Amino acid sequence: MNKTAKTNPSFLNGVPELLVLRLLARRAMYGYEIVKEIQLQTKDALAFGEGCIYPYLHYLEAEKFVKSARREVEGRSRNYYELTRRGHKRLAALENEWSRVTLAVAAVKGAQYV
Amino acid sequence: MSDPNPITALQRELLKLGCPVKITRRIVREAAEHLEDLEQAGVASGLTPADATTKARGQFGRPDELAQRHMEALRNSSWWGRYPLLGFGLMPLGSVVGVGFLCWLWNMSGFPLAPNFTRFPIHYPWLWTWSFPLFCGFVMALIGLVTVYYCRHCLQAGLGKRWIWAMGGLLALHGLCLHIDSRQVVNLESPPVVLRDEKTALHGKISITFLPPTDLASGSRPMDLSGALSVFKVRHPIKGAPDEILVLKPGENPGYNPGDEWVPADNVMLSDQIAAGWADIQQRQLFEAEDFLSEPGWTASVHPLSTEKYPRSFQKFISSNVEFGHFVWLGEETIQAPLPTLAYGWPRLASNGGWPSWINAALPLLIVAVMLACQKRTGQRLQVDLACANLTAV
Repeated sequence: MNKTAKTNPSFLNGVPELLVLRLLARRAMYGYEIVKEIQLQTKDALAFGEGCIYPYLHYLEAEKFVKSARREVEGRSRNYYELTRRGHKRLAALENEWSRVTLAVAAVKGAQYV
Repeated sequence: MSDPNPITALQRELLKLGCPVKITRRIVREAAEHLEDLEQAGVASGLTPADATTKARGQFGRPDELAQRHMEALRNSSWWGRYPLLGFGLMPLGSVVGVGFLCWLWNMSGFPLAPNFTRFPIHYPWLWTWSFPLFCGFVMALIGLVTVYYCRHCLQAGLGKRWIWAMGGLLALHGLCLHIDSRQVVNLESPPVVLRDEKTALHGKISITFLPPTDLASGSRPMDLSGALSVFKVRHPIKGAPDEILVLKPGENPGYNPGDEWVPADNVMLSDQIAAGWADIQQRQLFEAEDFLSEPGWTASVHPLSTEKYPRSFQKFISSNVEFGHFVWLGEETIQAPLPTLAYGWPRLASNGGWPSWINAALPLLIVAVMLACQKRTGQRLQVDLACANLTAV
């Protein structure tokens, strides 16, 4: 089994939702594209079985944060996902939460070296 | 992995875990497309097709793990999946109460087909004939709808067979309770004290549910059914005693001489008890309405079924499964006979004796089995579709 196929536990702790929503806020993407974008932008820091993206996408769709539609691009039919209004609100809330947490962690981390 | 093809393995795992076919189809399709992209990327980077395939499968992840993740996501994305105990354990019980309430409404609202509706008996006698079977049908339709409703949610939430069967079992239990036969269990060889005052020759209750308007107008010959062949179901008040069916046809001079009005039809099978009871009826001329009413514990049940009008199998089914009402005399006003309380202790929701309770109980289980079989068959078709489309050759 390929090492990268193993799921990174941190991927399951709310981070993927933020990442996926952030990426989809820019433009509509399909599953493979989202995975490659995450790997590219995080420089492979987040490793996971690529198939794991789909349960997340389906969950987000069931929660109406994203919606999907089949589109034909360059002769191939793909399932494209895009953010809904509810998804934008969710993204804003997650980003606020993330900022708050990172600031708190940074403050603690900085305090160690004072 | 036992299956070298991750797509078919993923599909098999999903179906095994109870994933709805529609969702399975979508998951498999997306997975196949993703693997195809991965393989193309591998080839583009200089790998051989075989190596690219191996690498793509490794990157994609194990099918069994992916199937588990998909099912978790599916279950977490609906209320039914998140709270199965509440949705399929407690709510069906609540629905049972709702079904009982609707049955009560049916009976009490004055709806013309309700079993206890007696407002227009003279002008619409057919309402009396069909009120009990229709009520039984109404109850069963409600149970069936409730079962389908919960089955559908259970399948959509991907909860698998266990919860569906649990829910079906609960509703089946409810079906059993719908028709509790509360007749006393006694030893037939030593008749109970409570039956001492009743006719020892025929421990049966017969009730009239239908009489032609002509008889109602005359007011004196409630057993004259104008030539129709009639089926009498004689139900023993003691649990365990076999019910008896009398098939009777009019005598030579129906409607005039009480003793000649009715004779057993050719196919009638009389037990000694029934024959004795029949002889006693004829001897004492119990066909007169007043005599009927004066007999303690006797009510009459007549369901006029013409051999020309209905198939014999239908007659047989109705006669052996449906017990009709409890009205004894139809004159200027309807009098409902007091039922022997010891024979019928509990009110029975399923139509005062409708069809056997196991039918009520079997219906939810049958619906569950059919819906699961349909899902399985659709899943098998999906596998065929995939094989034809060659989607797995990524």
